[in-house]
Amino acid sequence: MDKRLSFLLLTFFFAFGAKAQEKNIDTTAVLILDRMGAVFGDLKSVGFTSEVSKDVAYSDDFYIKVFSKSEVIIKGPNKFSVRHHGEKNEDIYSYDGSQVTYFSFANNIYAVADAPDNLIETIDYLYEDFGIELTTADFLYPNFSKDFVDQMDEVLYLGVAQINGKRALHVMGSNDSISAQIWVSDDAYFLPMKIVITYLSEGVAHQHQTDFSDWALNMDYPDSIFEFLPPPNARQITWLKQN
Amino acid sequence: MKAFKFNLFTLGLGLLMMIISPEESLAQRMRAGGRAAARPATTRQAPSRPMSRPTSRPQTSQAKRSFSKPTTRQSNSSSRPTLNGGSSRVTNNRTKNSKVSSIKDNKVGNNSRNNIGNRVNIDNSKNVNVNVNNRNNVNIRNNNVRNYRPYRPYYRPYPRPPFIWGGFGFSWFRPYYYHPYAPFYWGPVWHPWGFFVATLAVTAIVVSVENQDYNYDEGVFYVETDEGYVVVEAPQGATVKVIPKESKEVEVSPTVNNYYYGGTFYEKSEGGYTVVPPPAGAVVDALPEGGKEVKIGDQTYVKIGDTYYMPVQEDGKDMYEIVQVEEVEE
Repeated sequence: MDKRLSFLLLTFFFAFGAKAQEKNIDTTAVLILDRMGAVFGDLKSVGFTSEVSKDVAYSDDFYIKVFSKSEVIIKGPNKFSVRHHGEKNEDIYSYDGSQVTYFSFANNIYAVADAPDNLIETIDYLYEDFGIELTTADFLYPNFSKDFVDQMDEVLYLGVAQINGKRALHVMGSNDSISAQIWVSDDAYFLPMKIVITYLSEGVAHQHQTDFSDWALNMDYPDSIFEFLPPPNARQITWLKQN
Repeated sequence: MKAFKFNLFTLGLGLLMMIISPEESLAQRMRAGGRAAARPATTRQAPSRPMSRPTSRPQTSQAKRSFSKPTTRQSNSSSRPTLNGGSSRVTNNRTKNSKVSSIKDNKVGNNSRNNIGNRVNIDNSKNVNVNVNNRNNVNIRNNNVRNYRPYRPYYRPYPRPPFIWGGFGFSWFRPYYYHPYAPFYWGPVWHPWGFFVATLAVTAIVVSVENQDYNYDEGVFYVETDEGYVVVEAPQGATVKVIPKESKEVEVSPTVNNYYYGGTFYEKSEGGYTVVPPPAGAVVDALPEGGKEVKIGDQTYVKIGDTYYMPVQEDGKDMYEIVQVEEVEE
């Protein structure tokens, strides 16, 4: 009897909790995100080009647009190489399974840090400790669609859109501090084509846009391309962590 | 009967395979290699290879190949499933030394920093590889006191919000412009922190700050040890009558100028020149030895002691701006 009562109470609690959050989750949108996540979960390697334009605070109420382009190669379970072309710099970040290295072509300097032994932890480590966001890599996380649905108050499917002449499925999610839009390719692979994130919490709203192209799936990349050999006269500098 | 026919067919196929020239079979394998991603090579080769290579084949084809490419066969015997079994390399791909430190280290006196300056030995006649810190226990960083701020804040607010890094806000005025850190030497009488000398010039004077005696000569502060004198960081608040004539004026605000020599800032006072912390927002054209380049986010700074210098350019000349670093609430 007691058990039944507690079960009832628990059910009420969940029902009430769900109502309090006022979530609006569209099942089609979740289906699309799940499918995208499933494809990434099955991949052994992935290569793509990402073009980023983001608002960077210039003064208290003024943001400037900063552009960059990255050529990304990721090989499971523990390798990546990201060549980053900024407005004034060209850098390469490589991860060989045990260390992450940064190299600046313009300045001929490099930094080395011991890294975790898998991709996801290393991407987290770079972001948390060194402030390096290699690309909009959220979709690489195994539980991307679940986290997305959990964190957003509203997840909607906005229909078919045309991105560069290709059919794309437009999905959006929003909560109090952030709104994210994802355009997913309407083909067999369900790859992201464009992601726009609008930050609403920090003063003036500002955006971060990433366009993806040149997808290469399950290419057999040789391990040696992820190794870093310091070029002649390159100097090693200290990498300062923030934690 | 059917089975017998099939076996005959297989045998015929095997014979046919034997007639095919080695070049062709090689080309086939190359193509198969190219499609390896779609079809794993092992499943394909296992049944056909042993059947089509009986004893009749060996000498001609193998001799031909080993003549033209003697090393290929050896490396093919490697267990690595690559084109040539993996290359033998001349370059040594050792693991590089990880060099990471945390900004939080600022708050504690870091012993490792005390060794700076010992690597370069300007005057070989007087000392050879003397590790002053281990033997005499001299702390060349003497401004490590509680609540010490390694710079003077700028007199007016910065136009941009600070760059937040691990609980600290970094502020600067000029655009970041990287140029390599090349320590500057202010002549033969100037020495970097940690440098050891057996004797001092007769022009050296004694300066006392917070019950600690320093010997000062030509812009350099020394602390006496059992065997001689060790160069230390200029103690803030110390006042000296003269500073080297090579000192450069540095604008701190429209009404205040500082004098900069050998990594030390002086402000004109009643008794002469008083050592002050580096003024944030000011620029200098040369940095002493003992700094290290640190990558913070996307930018590379030179960190000397607890002060961060950002590489900038002014009127086409490479300079360093003193960065304001303030603790912020996250």
